[in-house]
Amino acid sequence: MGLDAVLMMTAILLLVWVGFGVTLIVAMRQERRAKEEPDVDDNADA
Amino acid sequence: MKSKGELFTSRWALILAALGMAVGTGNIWRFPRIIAKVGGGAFFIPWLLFLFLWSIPLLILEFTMGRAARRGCVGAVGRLIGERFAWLGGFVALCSTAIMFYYSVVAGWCLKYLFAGLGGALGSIGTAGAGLDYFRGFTSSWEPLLFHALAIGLCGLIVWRGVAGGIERANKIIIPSLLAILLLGMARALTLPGAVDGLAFLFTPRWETLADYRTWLEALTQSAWSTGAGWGLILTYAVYMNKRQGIVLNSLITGLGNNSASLLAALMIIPTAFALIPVAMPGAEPVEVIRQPGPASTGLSFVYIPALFNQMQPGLGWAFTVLFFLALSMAAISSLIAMVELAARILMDAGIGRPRAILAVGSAGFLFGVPSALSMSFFENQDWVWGVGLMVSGFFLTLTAIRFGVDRLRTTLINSGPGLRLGRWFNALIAVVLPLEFLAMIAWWFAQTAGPDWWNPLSMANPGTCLFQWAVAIIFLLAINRRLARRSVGGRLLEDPGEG
Repeated sequence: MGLDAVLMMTAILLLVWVGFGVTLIVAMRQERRAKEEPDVDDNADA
Repeated sequence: MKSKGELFTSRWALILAALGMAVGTGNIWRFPRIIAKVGGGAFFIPWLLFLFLWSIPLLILEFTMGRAARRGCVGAVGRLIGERFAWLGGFVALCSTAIMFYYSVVAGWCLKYLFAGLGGALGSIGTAGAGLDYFRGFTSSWEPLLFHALAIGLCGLIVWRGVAGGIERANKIIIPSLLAILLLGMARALTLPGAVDGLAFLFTPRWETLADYRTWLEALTQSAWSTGAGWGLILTYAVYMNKRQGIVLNSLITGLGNNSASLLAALMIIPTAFALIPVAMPGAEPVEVIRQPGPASTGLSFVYIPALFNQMQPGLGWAFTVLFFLALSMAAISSLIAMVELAARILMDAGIGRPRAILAVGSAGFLFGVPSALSMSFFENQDWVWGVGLMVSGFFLTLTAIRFGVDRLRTTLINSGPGLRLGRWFNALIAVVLPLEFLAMIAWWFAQTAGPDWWNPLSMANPGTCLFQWAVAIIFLLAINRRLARRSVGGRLLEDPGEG
């Protein structure tokens, strides 16, 4: 397996898997913050 | 009819349902085949680019429309741009529902292979020829009908239990299990002797393939079909989305999660194929075998996988065959659940209660799926017509956003809520880039498939049969548009500029 394949594998796995993980962590933090804030009418029609 | 009382209980529940919708059989059986077809490595670049230039923008539009309108496809489009355009949403719904009819058949195939694997019936498949004979024997019998009924019945039962009690609960089991199986499969594949050759093929960038326009278009279509962007399924799930959740982040999670699953599947299948094809089929080139579409593009999954896993030690081969078809079944069922809910949501918006809506969708799903279950030609025709129709669906949703005003949509419906904000660049992405991508895809599709009888509506797979069936659908939707809109829309959204 050549260096170019190793570099491509590292870049793609970092972008996709780490990107997915980071977005999940950010969402988790947002969710925690939202729960601490006063309730909004979740069911309301726009 | 409002969706009052029905919401996902948490953000995780919505994300798992969205991932269940996006991660389907296309991730497991189509993605590795397309990589092999295009030539590996460099394909990842356009594949990732189009995730951000097509799929995620469309997912953002769908989340926005569903959450703002609290209606399914027909009602959402009608509420955003007026009742006379409700048929645009009708086409999106009809396209996904037509896919549901034959996708249920595919989910049935997966269940059949799972049960056959469990019972040891796949253990005697030692060669690709035997795999093909088994598949042909199965699809030419009455059994696909039975498993099609099982698949649509199971999904109908889940959706009948509602958003929190059915869809949410099922995806909370399916998605983590699917992820665990893919991880296990990948770990085993990467430790097989010779697997590193598959890894090298998968990631070695052959830059010259980027000069071929087909690489870019394959990447665009793979991204569009695999993420479920433009199908209206995320729009439907967003009807039950809590207003405290950010739209942009949810779209990023859905898109990146889908691509993560595709990568896992490729890391499981391609190294396995490179390790086991030389044993199962001496003299055969692994890349050529993976590229084979097979009957109804089922190639690798239903024809080769049993033969390949049977080259492992007896118990291990059985276990991996079962695990592979369990993963495939779960991926298919979680996507089929979303399709059933999409169709049922349209009926519920028209005032029909959930149990009756599910009964109607389940019965129609079974009946209209029967021809695909019994005839491979019919199945391939429907897959062709409505698979390509998804591009049109995505374009119709883009048109809805353009007609509503992309800047207005961005500022009043996306940025006014919590989470990440979108800049003005989003306006250009939706109003210019997405339509150009659609035109490029359609032109390429036409150039690739148009033969001398391209207009013939009775042909199995040509532009004529697509145009004919789409035209019938659009004429039907235009004819019933007023009735459809009156029952589903219930007033325009944001008629008062201060509302939102």
